[in-house]
Amino acid sequence: MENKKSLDKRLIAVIVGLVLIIMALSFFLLFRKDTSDIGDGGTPLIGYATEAKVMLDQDSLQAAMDEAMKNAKDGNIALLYKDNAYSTNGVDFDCYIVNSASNKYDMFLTIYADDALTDQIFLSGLVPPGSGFEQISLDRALETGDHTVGVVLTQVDTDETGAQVIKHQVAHTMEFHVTK
Amino acid sequence: MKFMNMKRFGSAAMAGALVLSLAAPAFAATSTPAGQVTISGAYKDIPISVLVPESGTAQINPYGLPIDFTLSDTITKVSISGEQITSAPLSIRNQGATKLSVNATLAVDTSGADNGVSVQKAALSNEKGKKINLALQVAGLNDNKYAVSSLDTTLEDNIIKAFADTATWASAKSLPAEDTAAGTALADATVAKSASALAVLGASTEAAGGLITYGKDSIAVFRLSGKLNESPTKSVSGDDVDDPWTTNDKFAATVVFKFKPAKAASVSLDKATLELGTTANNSKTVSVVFDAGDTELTVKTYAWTVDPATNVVNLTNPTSDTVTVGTAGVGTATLTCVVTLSDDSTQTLTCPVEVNAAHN
Repeated sequence: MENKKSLDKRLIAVIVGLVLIIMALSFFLLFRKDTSDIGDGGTPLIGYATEAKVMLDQDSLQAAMDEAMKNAKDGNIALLYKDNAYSTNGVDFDCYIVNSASNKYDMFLTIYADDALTDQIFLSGLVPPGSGFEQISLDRALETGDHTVGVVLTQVDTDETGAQVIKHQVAHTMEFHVTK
Repeated sequence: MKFMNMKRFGSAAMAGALVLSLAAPAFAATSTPAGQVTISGAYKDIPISVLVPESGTAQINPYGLPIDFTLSDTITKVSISGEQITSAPLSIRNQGATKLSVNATLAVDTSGADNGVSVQKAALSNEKGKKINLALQVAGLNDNKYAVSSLDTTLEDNIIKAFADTATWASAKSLPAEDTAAGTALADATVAKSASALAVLGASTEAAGGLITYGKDSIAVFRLSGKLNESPTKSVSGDDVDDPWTTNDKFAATVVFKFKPAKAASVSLDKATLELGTTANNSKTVSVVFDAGDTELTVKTYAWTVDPATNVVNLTNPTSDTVTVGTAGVGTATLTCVVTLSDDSTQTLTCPVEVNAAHN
């Protein structure tokens, strides 16, 4: 009888532990930040020379350069991907795009169908360093053929208030192939 | 009774766990994309691995004022001057085992209130308005001082020095921005695309722990460069009046890089074998076909020889890309061409030759 009681207690402990783990996991996933809510953190545009402004005096120019040098020290992003992705229906692509383990921040991925990076066809959730994508599903189908798409990687940091803000952005292209 | 209560509690707990386990993937679907995986070491293909800088800033510097870059000792400075578009030193670094070619697109946004800046692709020549002639420039570095570990403290300083050195940009490849009228949003801008590789980045090696050792040519520096008129004017009632640069004047440039495994240079012969007759069909040519791929290599020399040297065929123009092979006897021989490229590497090509009356 004592053995039976001891067994029951262990069973309850295991079940309670299981429930707690699942609840914690659900809480994490439920309240994890969606990328669409992330502030731009003063990074309004994609590119290497956003908002190039006129500097008419030496002090302002040097101050701007010093600030840029300071930002550049922490600003490198490691890209890790394969240049080609393949699909048979234009929507679901086999690919290899990774947030390199050497990066410091989570990132999300935005893919554009046009050179000007205005025709968005994919927006991911946040991906931690060391993880990535082997399959993605686009918002709309690409036609049969070869497409050069723009891939924007956006790293996200948490500011002093706990809000997630855009930290860094880089853009590169990939080749998406759709076959029947 | 107590045992029954425990069974009921256990069933309830298991039911709860089931509900939550079903619910969790639904939450995940809204916050974690399908297909997200942890990449394991089992993946065998070699992906592209490049270190690039984040979005940066540039300055429009109409008067070409000098700027200092401070090195890692926080004391030593290197300077640039005379540059009308300036940015912090920017570099791209190949961290993979595959040589990469670098291409890019460049688009300029000139929208915004009170913004009279426009982009002109052609070189400026006494233009009146606030026109900018803008280009992305990429310069590959190639020196043993860059063939160091990613943790080497001299690397960043050497890159800054190279960036500030005008000699670095003398051989840089440029991608000029297309004509862009004032007030043009990015979506409406004409995108410039590089027609050929802007740089080829040599391979790096990765040691245990992710430590990268660059090759001497694994790194390229890049910048936005441009020219603009120092004293723009505008027409008012038919008269030209001063329209000086102000801090409201600006543009935004978008650079998108394309990296792909570099196509190596290759040489081949236009014929796999050569058959000559004894009285007819007794003279033919063989040519070297050279493809530079994504490299900038050229052919330095061609050296044709034949073995045996006499009795079967003779050669005309044995130091050009095309050799004429003429019958000198009957038998077989081997035609060889040693092609020396501009980097002093050599490629040896061979072509078997047969001479007999059956080929007349």
